[in-house]
Amino acid sequence: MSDEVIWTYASQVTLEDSGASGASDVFIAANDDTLESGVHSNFPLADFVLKADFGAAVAAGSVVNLYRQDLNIDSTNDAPAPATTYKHLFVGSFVIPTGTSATGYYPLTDVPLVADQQFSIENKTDQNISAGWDLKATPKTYEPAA
Amino acid sequence: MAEEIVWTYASQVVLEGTGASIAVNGFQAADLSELTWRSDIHSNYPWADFALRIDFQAAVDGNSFINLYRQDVEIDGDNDAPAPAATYTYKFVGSFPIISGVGGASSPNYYSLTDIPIKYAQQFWIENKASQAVDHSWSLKATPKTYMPAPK
Repeated sequence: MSDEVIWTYASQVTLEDSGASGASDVFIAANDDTLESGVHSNFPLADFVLKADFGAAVAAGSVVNLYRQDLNIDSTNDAPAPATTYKHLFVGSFVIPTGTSATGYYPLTDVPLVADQQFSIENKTDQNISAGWDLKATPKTYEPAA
Repeated sequence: MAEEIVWTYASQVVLEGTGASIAVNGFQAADLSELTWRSDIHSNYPWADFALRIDFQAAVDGNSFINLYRQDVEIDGDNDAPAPAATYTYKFVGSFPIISGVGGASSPNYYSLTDIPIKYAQQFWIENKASQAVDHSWSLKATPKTYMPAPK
């Protein structure tokens, strides 16, 4: 068989490597790398992984939210950065197991991409996110099978 | 007509052949060792249709169901996402509704759950949200599916 639609993946990109700590409700940009067409090859979706640990055991219902800030949307002008007063564009949540404090790896899949963007996380656990968190993204798209 | 979008299916994969019994509210992995379900098995097809064969140790109440969860594995090097559990009901991908009153001495029934998104590598788990324990020898199978252009 050939020409059926299959997933194909680009190389995983490190958007933040060893991020700073952040208190509960704080936004932190993953700004080691932006996800632009030269990096994501215009693949329309990406699977994200957050590596994080917390200052103490998190309560039930804890999440880390992911936001996309679109860049260079009118020449070199960017959309506003996400913040507590501008919760846009929310693209999903990393769900943290109740009682976790040690390092874990959390997936968020099928996030839509545009030409150029930067991602930020919002710590919606009740504990500090520890310094050293990572955010990685694997661009993905469909292609016809060989 | 030709080249219209049609479904095409890969071979059905056995994710669990003879699972152990599961208490009410218990979780269990469909974990045949060779079937942490990677791209070399599902060929990077984006979706799958699931079939659950299952029976219960006594007759179940109305509104009984079995939940299906996907645990993404090897997401950052060899590191996996947390396994689904009672304190981590993630990532829920769907439910198999169970016929009221089945169980006990009855024969297993077969339940369908379709169009579940799949990714590069994952393992699936079931959660027993029926009112009775799952009997041993349940099985979970998946048929990868995708679109293709119809032949000219």
